Amino acid sequence: MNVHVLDPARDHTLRTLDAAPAGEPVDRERQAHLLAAVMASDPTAEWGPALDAAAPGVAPGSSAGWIPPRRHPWRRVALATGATAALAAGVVALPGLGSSYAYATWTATPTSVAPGELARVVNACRDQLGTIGGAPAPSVRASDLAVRLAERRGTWVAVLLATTTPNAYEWTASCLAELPAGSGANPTHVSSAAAGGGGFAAPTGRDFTEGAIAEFGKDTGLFGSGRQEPASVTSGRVGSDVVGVTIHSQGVSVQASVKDGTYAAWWPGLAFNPADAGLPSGEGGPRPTITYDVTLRDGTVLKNAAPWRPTSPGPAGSESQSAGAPASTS
Amino acid sequence: MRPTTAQRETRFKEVYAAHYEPILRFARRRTDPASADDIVAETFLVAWRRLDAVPVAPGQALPWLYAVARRCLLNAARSQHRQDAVAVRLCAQPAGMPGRDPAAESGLDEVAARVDLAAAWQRLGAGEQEVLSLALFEDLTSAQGARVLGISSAAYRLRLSRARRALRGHLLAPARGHVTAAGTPTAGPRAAAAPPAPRLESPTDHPTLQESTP
Repeated sequence: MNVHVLDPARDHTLRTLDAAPAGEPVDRERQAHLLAAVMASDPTAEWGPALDAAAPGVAPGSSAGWIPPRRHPWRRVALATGATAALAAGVVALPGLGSSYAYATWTATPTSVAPGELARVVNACRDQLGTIGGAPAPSVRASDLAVRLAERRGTWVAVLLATTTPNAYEWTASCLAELPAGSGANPTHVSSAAAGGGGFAAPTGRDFTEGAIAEFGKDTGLFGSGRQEPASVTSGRVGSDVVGVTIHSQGVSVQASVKDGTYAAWWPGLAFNPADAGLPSGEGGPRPTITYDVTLRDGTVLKNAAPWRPTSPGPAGSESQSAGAPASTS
Repeated sequence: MRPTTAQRETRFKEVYAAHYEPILRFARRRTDPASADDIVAETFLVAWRRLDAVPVAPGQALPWLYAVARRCLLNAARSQHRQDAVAVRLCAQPAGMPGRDPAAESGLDEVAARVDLAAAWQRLGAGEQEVLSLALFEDLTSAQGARVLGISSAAYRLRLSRARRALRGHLLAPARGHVTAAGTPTAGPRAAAAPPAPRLESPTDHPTLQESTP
């Protein structure tokens, strides 16, 4: 002790009220993970001004010291090829870090979203997406995307937006945002991913498609160590006999929302083989680790059902575009 | 001569091993556990990027890292409202007696003293809590604490002196039904055994201080 705050006795009493006293157990695994993650990062890479401004030497109150922080979160927009394309979003995450802080309220079974809350999430999602697509794929304004599915899992709301362009190119966008039920606030932690592809024919009967799959992470590169852990989202189409889809990936099981021939679900955790991290998204990219159980209208459950992979193009052909990759033809 | 990659990594590992725990505790005193992990990650990421700026002299790296963590906390809270100090919370259960009855442990007088201190602490402004914590919980010298806050040692001592006076004043004149600037109603001194929620207050909570270097 360098100086008494009050007197020795009351200082001692105050120290017993320390919210983080020395000697408390420390999670050594987390400590080791963070060390590895930091040292694996490129110390010369651009990480944004907020972190640089955190270093001493920038006077408080100066504009440089008060750069808006990492609050514009983890926008992910990726484009995938076709109806069977896999889509990865370059998650920066370390297994074992973060545990379950972020999605502690997540539930494997979805519930409905109140209309007012849905509207706020959809607005935030559209704002973040702006315009998606672009040459040679057609571009659309997110405001033109209609809500196809919405679901609540704990304090998190997910929406699936979609539109089909005049040339039958279909865009889907998944958004995830935190908005506790009954909250009058605006959603936070909004993230989004978009996928587009040729207009394949919809599955029929008991068939279903493996649609876009995305992993969300933070784009500030802070290793998912806090509240923003990796989460995955997927959606696709189902035939008229399918009333339920249960998705399993890396130990997590989630009951998807199914409505009007579409299913969608998100869950805390990964959707792709971690060994494939860094591969470009799209066909031939990271391998999904998802398996499906499908419930039919008559109650039959098809365990580990294989998704239907459409081979015939839709009315406008099947040319599709993957972001950062050459156009391919399915 | 620039250090080699191996030398750089060795240096960072030493800095990390020596300071991970104090930085974690620093953050946990000031925010929720999940956010604290974020702050620790950001702090060491800055250190990794600016390793050549991390002081090598004994006792100098820790204040530098505290200053980084503090700026990360301020940045993280800025989206809510601008502030220039970070509030420090107290614990729910006194340290060193997990699962034990504080009354049986140390007598009712000691319990009453804790309750009074917790209530008085809660009435301090964020800037006052901050400087008292640096002296009490982080156990820094005036020179070290001044580096954390980015002010002169003289300004730090002045701020500390005023914060101590404010704490004594709150102990002598306990509030009843006081409402903090953050809008959280707090009860009288005997009802404040529960910890104050981590609160981030506006700069108007604490007096304006002279920051000039003499």
